[in-house]
Amino acid sequence: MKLQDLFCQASNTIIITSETISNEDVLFERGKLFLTGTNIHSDELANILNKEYGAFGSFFSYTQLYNNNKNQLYPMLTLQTFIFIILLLMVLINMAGSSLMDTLLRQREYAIYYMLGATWNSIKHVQSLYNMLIISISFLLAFLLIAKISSFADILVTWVNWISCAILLALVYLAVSFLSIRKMRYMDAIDIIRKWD
Amino acid sequence: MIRLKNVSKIYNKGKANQVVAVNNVNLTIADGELLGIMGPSGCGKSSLLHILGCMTDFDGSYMLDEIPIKNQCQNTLAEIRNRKIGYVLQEYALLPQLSVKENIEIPLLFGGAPRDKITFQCLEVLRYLHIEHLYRKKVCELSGGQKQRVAIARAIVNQPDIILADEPTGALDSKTAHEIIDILVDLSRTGRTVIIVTHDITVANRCDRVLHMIDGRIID
Repeated sequence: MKLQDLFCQASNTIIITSETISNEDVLFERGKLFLTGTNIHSDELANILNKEYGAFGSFFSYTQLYNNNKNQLYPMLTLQTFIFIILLLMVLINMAGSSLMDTLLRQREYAIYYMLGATWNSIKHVQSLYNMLIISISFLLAFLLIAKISSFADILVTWVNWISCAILLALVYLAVSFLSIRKMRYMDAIDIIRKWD
Repeated sequence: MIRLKNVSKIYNKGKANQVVAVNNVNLTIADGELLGIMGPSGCGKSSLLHILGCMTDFDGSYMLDEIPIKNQCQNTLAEIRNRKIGYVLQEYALLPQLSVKENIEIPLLFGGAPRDKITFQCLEVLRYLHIEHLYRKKVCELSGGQKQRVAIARAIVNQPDIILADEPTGALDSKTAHEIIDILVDLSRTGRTVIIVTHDITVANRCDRVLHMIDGRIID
């Protein structure tokens, strides 16, 4: 077990996950050092911690831990969930706004494509490709940034996080751009070109 | 051959601000004809041109080479716009961030032409219009006359039967306007139907036939 296994640290509590240590629903407390995972017996785990870190303490199940700390846990979780929702909403509104602005700025271009023989469906495909490009570039940048940060800080971003983020991004971008292109269908393409020229 | 029968275009139909832009127009245009449409602003000449270009919906009957345009599906209309019709507008409607070549390629790309054909046809129209030296230039670097030539190149690159020009000389000086009209007249001599909407009597004088419109109707 190495210190890189640490993934979360808050006040005097350290939670550790590792596939090489830990047992089903076993937690170790020293000061407040919690370990989770599978594969190793609790006694063996205690020995490792004693040997590596001079740790001592007792083992708790998740249920015991939850019962001991639920009074503190609920307000903390509620606050964190609230902050998460606010941040998520802000990000989504910004993404939707930038996507809408982008599609509006491309209205003239799309009206010209329509005049030259594109259908609104093929224009949607063009916009989808463009969105995919934006999402791919932002993901590449985020990936590089996370890789750089995780070299000096303990951050764990799982594939589930990446995939859910990608799905959310794609949904917002596609929904907003498709809706604005759908609105263009009910306008005359020539009027759109004239308005911009 | 283009045949319009009782064609009308009504904006905001059924609302308080309803406008009848084109009112029961009957018109036949022969293949290879050079037709001018004149009239005051707001008389419906551009709306009529947009109907002819399959760019907007309308009431009545419109037959283009025996194809009924009314109630055609979006894909068929797109194919007609791509293969049969070329558009030239007053403000060029080019994409300024793209090069001349990229602008001219667009109709061929939507038509699914192979890469070698795209390059060949682009070069051919550029040579025809004497602007092959502009091939790699960005559109934003061109003069008005050069932009209009590029717009004509884009309109004819797919070898359409019909060229629709909406005030093609409106933004040009008289010398350049004369050159652009020469090109359009030349195109009509190659068997294409050319329809020009204009305010300019000197442009109209170059046409085989001139229609005058007032309040959405053709008066002569």
